[in-house]
Parts: sequence; C-alpha cells; structure tokens
Amino acid sequence: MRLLLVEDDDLLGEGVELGLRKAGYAVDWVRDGEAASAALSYEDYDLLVLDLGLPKKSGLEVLKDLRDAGDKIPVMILTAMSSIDHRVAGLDAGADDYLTKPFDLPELYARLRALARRHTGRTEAIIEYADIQLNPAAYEVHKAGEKVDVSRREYAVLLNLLENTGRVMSREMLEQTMYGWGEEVGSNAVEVYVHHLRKKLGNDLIRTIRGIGYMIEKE
Amino acid sequence: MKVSLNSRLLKILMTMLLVSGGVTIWSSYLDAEEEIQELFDAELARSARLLLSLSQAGFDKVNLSELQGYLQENKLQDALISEGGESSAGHLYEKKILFQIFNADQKIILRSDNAPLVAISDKLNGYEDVELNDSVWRTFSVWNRLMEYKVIVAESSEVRSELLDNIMLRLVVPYLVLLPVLLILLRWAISHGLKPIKLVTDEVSKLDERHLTDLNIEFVPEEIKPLITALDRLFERLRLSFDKERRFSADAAHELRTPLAALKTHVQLMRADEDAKKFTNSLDKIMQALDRATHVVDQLMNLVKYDEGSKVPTLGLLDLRELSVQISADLVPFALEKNIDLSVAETSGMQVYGDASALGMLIRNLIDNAIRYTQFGGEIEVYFSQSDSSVSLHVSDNGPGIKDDEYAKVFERFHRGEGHVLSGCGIGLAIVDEIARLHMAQIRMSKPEQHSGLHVEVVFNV
Repeated sequence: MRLLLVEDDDLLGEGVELGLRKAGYAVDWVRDGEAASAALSYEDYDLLVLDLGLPKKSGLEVLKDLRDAGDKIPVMILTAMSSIDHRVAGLDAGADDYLTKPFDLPELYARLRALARRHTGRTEAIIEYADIQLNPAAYEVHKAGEKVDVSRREYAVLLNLLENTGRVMSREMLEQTMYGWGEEVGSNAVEVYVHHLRKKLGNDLIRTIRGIGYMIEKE
Repeated sequence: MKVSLNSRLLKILMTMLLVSGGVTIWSSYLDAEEEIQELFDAELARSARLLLSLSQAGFDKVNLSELQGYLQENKLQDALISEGGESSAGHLYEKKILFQIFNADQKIILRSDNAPLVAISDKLNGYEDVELNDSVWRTFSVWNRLMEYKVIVAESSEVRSELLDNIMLRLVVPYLVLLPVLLILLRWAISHGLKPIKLVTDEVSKLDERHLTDLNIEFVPEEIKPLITALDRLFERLRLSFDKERRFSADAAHELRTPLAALKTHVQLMRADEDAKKFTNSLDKIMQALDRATHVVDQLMNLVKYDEGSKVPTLGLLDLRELSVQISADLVPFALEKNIDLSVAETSGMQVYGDASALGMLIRNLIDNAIRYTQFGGEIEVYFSQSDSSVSLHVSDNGPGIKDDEYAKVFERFHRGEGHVLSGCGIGLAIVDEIARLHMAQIRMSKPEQHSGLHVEVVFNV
C-alpha cells in the first residue's frame, strides 16, 4: 500500500516513516504543505497521514484542497493540539480519523488498517478474537471453528465491541449502532443482547462496567 | 499614610473658616476698642470742661465746704442699687467716674465722694492712665486759661473693657454656635461633590481580572476623566499580558508534544526490535517517564485553558450523568489496569448549566485522581444527589484518603499527596478548582462514612 506521510519534524517523521515501512507500507515522506499537495496531485496514494501544523501551507488547507478536488483518499490527522475544537475542525475538513501527539505506534497501525478496510469495504476483513471469528461479509460468527447462530442485532453489538476492544461502549453508543440495523430498540434491549451473547460465546467475553457500559478487553 | 479626599477637604475648609472668622472678629474688636476709646475720651474732656466752666463762673461766690457737703449728701446709696447695677436712683457705674477740682495752689477744693484726697494725676493737661485701688483709671486734666482752677476727671477702664467684652461676646458666641452647623453642612457638601468618585469606584470594584472590559461610566466629571482613561489603558495592557502569558504556556506545551511524540515513536520501534530485547526493562521505564511527561504537558495546557483570565465558559444545559458516563468510559481501561471497580450510579435528571468540555475535564480529573491514588483492587463510585437549590456530583474511593491537615493544601499547584504515586503531577485538583470556580460550584472534600478513602462532592447551584 502506498502511503504519503506529511510531517515537518525530522525526529518524529523519521520514526514514523521507519515504523510504517516495517508495518509494510510503501512510504513517501514530505515535510511541508505545498510539497504534500504537489505529491498528492502527481502520485496515487492509498493513505495519507497528515500533520496539521505545517510550514508553507497548513494541513487543514492541504486537506480542504484535496477534498475540493474530489479525492476520497482516507486521511489520518496527527495533531499536537488536544483541544476538541481542533479535532472537530480536522474532521469537518474531511479527515477520517485523528491521533493526538504523542501517540502509540501500534495504535497508529490499527487505525490505519481500519481506515483502509473501511475505504475498500470490509468484505475481506475477518475479525478474530481468541477463538472467535466474525465475518462481516456473511454476518457469520464462529466459535472454536463452529458456527454460532446470532440475531442481526446481537451481531451488531458484538461487531461494535470487537471493533473497539479495550474501550468501554456505553449503552447509548451500542443502541445507536443498532438503529442502523432496522427497528426501534427497547430500553433494556442492550442488556438482553449482551446476555444472549454471553450464553452463546462464554461469560467472560463481554465485561460489564457498572453504570457505564460494556467492553471486550484488548487481546 | 491614609489619605482621604473627604477629610482633607474638610480640614482645609475648616481651617480657612476658622482663620477668616478669627481675623474678622479680631479686627472688629480692635475697631470697637478704638471707637469706644475716642468716644469715652471725648466725653471725659467735655465733662471736665463743663466742671471747669462752672468753677470759673461761680466758685468765688459759693461756700465750697457746703457744696462738698451736698455732694456727700446726694451720694448714691449702695442699698438702692439693684442687682443689674441700674435703678431709678442711679447706676453702679457712678462709682467708676470721679472728679477733682483744684485751686491755683493745687489744693483740692471740690471732689466727688469716691475721689481720693490727693491729685489722681500729676499731669498739667491732657490724658493719662494711672493706677488707683488696683485698677487703671483714665484721667483728663485741664486748667482754665488764667490758671485759677484745675479739673481732673477720671473714669475706671473697667467701664470700657466691660463694654468691649460685651461686644466681643456678641461677635464670638453666634460664630461658635454656627461652627458645628457649618461643619455638618460642609461634610454634606463635600460628600455630595465627591459623589462621582464613588460612582467610578463602584464601577471599578465590580471588575475583576477575568472581566477586564473597558470601564463604561456615563456622567464622569472632567477631573476624573484622565484617571479613567489611564485605568482603561492599564486594563488593556493587563489583558494583553494575560493573553500573552496564556499563549506562551499553551505554545510551550504544544511545542513539547512533537518531540515527545518523536521519543515515543523511536522507543516503540526499539521495543519491537528483537535485537533490543535485553533493554526491554529500561525501555518500559522510558515509556513510563514519557507518559508522565505527556500527562504534565496535557495538564498544563488544561490549567492554562481554565486559568484565571480565561474566558467564561459557554453555558448550556448538561446531563451530569451522561457526561460522567462518557468520561468514565475513557478511563475504565486505566481502572482495569489496577483492577479497580469503577462504577457510575444510574440516576436520571441530574442537569446543570455548564460548559461541556470544561465539566468533562473536571470529572476526568476527579476520577483520574481517584484511580491514581486508589490501591490495586480498590473501588471508585461516581454518584449524584439533588436538593431544592443544588445538584451534586460525588466521586468516592476507598483508597488511602488524605490527612486532616492536608485538605486545604490539595488545591495548590504541584502539591502531591503524602506517599504520592509516580504518575501524578499535582495539577489535577488545581484544574478542578479553577473549573468549579468558573461554574460557581463548591467543592467539598471529606472521608467517606463507611470506609477509608476520599469523597469529593462538587455542588452546582441550580
């Protein structure tokens, strides 16, 4: 996969470039906004990792020009600003995800994988967790190689939790993902689906955080 | 030294009043004294000339001892004089006037009953002040042209001084009576005149460092306008320096993030490399130090954001529980690392007016602190309570708590609890304090009733 890295800091740029190469990306690295726009117009990239505070042309401007030109390339923003305003501005300008400096390299890899997957459609990506396999293309769940029957909404809850391992998903967040899957959701529906999933996949899989939500711990 | 415009003006005006009053009274006194002197002197001279003329006209035909006898006989009887000194019989002051008539041989031939037997004055002609019976007498002596008779008329100076004293009293008493009245009137006039200053003072005292809007006062007197302009300029400068300081801190923290990110990236690259396996322990320590430095930078940026002089947050109706759930969800992984049971109570309708990101930061810091200070396997509860006038957020843990004498100190910047944990930086509660202040919320800290630990309550007025 071809990836364009735009980062003006040499120390950080070098590290990220090296890390991404090791992760299997073909990385081009430029150090300012104008060079980034130029590179994007001449070459075809599959992913863009963009710092916001750049010399000559800001990351937001690069992003805006890119989207104005109709380019749908997935964009990951790296920002030193932690304030919510800056994140919102980045997402509004057409970024697909952001990371705040300093970030974990493994986290960057995972997010980039997710971006690429979303961009190309999730058909190929089978999610594996312990002895559980989830196939989004077929809406199928396997445990220890055997197919487990889950309803569409149970599937939605499981997918959401597996896509966000290590993060607590509140009941409201889980309910919202289910609206996309059709009918209205009852007030304690999430508890019911989690209960069913535990029965089918094992009690230890989904952890309840009292009053906050549910999570599947990182592997 | 305390300077009061009010008392200063009062002092100046009172001094001027006293000096001008004194000078007026003193000059009136001198004037009156001179006039009285002249009038009485003239009277004295006229009486003397009358007596002299009478003597000249008929003393050669008169039996003088008989005349002296009559004088004695008609003398004023003391008993007839009433208290006031005045009666139909005469006047007490008669005793204070005397005369002596001499012949050519300087022998007394006639005298008033109260006159001494020797000449009261040695002067040949004219006025003289002499001493008699312990008092001063004004005398006038005159000879007739042929030097046959001499008359001396004398008057006690007491008469004049008593009159003068009376006049003085009439001048001074009303003045002294009026003085307190004047004082009161002056006080009122001054405070009335200085009222605009009080208006300006009130206006200025309403300002604090967070609301340095330009002073806006109508009807400011000309004299105070330069002061207002100067204050305006001072405020503008203050505002600029506040902004500058805030920007500087924010920039500094921001600039630290990129090198921290570079460090972290390279450390993680090494961690992933088989050749660096023997350094795993050191690399983990470096990562811990990096996380701590990152935390300090984050907290500094937060503190700057909600610090003194920062903008009043944008208020909106917020659900405290919803916000707490969001924040707790982010922090659960950290709690699980220490196997801490973090829970949020299920309560509905806990709404307060506030700024979502600021209150989120407040809740995050409270829970984050609880996680940092509570031991492995501990418990943290977030719950809510409500009264008629307030909504409260509670964060309670069963950690070590804080000592009684430390409660007041925990809000100080960079203060860290006794036996502090490695990861804290001591800014968290200072941020909580600033955000609570922006929301006019009170923070109460105590020991939980059932067990050891710390219970923090944030009370929002509704």
